Amino acid sequence: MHSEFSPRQDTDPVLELCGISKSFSGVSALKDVSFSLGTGEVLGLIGENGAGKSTLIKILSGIHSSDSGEIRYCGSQITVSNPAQGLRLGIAAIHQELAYCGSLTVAENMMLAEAWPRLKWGGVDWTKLHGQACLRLQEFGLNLDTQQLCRELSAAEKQELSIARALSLNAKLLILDEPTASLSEPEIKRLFDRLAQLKKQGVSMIYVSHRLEEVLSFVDRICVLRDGEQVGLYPVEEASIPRMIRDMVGRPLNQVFPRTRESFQGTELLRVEGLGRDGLFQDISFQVNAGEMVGLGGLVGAGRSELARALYGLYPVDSGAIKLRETILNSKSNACDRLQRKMVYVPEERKKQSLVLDHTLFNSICIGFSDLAARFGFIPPSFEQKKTEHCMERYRIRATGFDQSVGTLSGGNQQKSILARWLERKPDLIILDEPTRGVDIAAKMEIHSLMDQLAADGKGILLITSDLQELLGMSDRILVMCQGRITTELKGDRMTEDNVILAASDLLTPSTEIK
Amino acid sequence: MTSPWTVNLKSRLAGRYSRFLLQRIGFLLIGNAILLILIYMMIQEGGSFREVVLRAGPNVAPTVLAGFALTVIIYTGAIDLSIGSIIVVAGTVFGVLSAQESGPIVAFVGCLITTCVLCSFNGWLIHRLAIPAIIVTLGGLTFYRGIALILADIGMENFSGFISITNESYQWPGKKLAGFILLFGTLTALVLEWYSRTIRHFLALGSSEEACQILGLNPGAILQKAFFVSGCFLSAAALVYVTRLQTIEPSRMARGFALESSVPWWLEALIFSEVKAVSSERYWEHFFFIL
Repeated sequence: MHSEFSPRQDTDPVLELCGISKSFSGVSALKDVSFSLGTGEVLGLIGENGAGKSTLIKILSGIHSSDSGEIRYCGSQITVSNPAQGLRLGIAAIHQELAYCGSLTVAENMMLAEAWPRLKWGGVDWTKLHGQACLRLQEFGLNLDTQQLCRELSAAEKQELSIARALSLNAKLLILDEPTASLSEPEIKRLFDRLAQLKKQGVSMIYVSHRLEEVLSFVDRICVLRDGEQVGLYPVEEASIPRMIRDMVGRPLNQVFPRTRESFQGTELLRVEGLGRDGLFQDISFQVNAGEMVGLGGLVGAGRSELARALYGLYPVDSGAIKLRETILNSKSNACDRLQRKMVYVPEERKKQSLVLDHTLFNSICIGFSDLAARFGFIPPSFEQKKTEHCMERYRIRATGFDQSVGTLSGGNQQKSILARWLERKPDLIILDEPTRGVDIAAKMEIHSLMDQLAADGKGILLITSDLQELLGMSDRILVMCQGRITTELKGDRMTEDNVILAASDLLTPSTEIK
Repeated sequence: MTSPWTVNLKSRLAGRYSRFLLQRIGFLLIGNAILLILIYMMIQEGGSFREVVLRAGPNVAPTVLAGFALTVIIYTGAIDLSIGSIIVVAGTVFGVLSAQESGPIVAFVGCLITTCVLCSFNGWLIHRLAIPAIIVTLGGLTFYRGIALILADIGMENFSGFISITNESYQWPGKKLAGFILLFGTLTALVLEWYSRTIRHFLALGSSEEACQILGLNPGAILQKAFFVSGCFLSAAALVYVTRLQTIEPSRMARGFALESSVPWWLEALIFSEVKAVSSERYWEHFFFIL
């Protein structure tokens, strides 16, 4: 055991890992990882995408088995051969890729692998089932309709459901992989309150996040992985963000929000007037100019993503007008038409809404712009080849080659491939919905640099993000949505975290405003 | 006073089925009722309306029961294209046993078990080989028909391409009990759909295999169970199908049966422009198909 740090003296070790290694097809994903975790202790597991965090979590939760090494849990050596066994042992994991069954209701998802209440003759007692699920959701402070199908939930609601489900299992060890990736600030606060309670109750946790401030504020110790190797294990008192970044990346990084451009506003690219869709958003009016990055803030469920989808022609609107440059888009204008008019949209759920995971990187990138080079329906092969090479270089997409399946890329590289696909169309207006969700710090900085460069080149960007720092760091001005309406516009000194949070809850008044 | 059944029915309809779907169901029910009235008014010959409807039972029952069987598999995101060929094997086993005068019950049981076993075998094969169901069962389409011919050749002396069923006692389920078997199968399907966790597990697997695994379910076991349950429905379909025939022809019978059984889905796709076939709503289409 090469652990440079012993388990905390004041707690009994719940989990001890000794020399865990794992490789896939000869490629090493984890090399000799060792640490221990005391009762009620929270270990922050950090590293770039592809560092081996998810592999380690999958080994602990029984999805993968380790090639070598030993796992000791509550004093006994264990082999977790499947997630069901892990859950029985009291190891619950919330994975980065949300695990839910879209065709089932919230209640069914909540209690999928458990015994369901039965009627006297053996049939499922649905009333009781929904009652139990409702109770568990309420304990977590969630107000979801248990009859609703899971596929109809927003990404954040799905995330909260996953967390509530894991927390309701009375686990001794909770593994959280990017639990706040799709949550807004109040939801994050609610989650941390709940996690703090669990910590007090003696639940040990492994907390994985790219949000380093969160890690610093919540964990007791930090374990850093780089290229599958454990490169650091230290108490949080000895940690700092520069040190964590240096350990993760192997070199110091400049600021995460690299703003190099001057404030500049060109011609009007997009004007939205009185846009409304029943039940989703109402009376939306704003404009985006060339060279401007407009942030769209608000709580999850405020209607931001729905608005973005409507702007891109994916939802019909009931009222209002969308003017793209000089053209007013009519009801027949769909996403294809928007694309032809140089508008692109990067949706929030990249694996479900942007990628065909079995596609090769080559196909995944080329699908965005091949039509531009097509003549009589034929695409010159050399064009795609050259363009993909160019994209991989320009957007720094790290892959084994063109043929690598896009589903096997890290989150950051997947996102960069999506950006490459659309940005090579040379769009004028770009709608980015959660562009850095689940992306590591280095890739995040690259994406931010790219966004900054695009705005500097005169592109208009509508940025939707739940990451307040990103919203504040990248936007020229911020529109805040609350319950389907844009309630506030923040510019200059008024762009503060507090003001965004207050505006998101429709509580921002001259008396509450913080400058 | 409202009975618990009514309350439960109301809450299940309101909770599980969207307003849009309930409207579609209402539309189809009314449409079918109008069609039945029209048929009733137009029937001049061939007996009373009741007799005509009852006579339709043996013809409709195998298709509908096989439709339920397919539904169960489609819930899991898989498909079984070889159900027609499995019925051929079951029919051949039944034919051979009847030709050997093993007794009707033995022949019926032989037919039921053969269907169930082959269906379960398909599930096992798909799980073990990790090959898409469409490929495995497409292979089964010709493989099982070949097996049926070999069985007939081995089981019968001087097999001339068909087996004649002359004893009427062997045709009892197909000719006398088809309606009851259909009713029983339909009720079973309803009870499973409304009160069974197993069916919800099938749907869960169809939604996301990875999620099932992460949430502590065993996707392989669920798939095999789905093929077994499907086999149970299909065995009822096979029993009705083969016992209403005078001759069993392994090389010709049940051609296009899988296609016929999936008619409700094609109807759905045609009428509603929706081809996402994994949804509990699909049972309704079968009811309309029965009508």
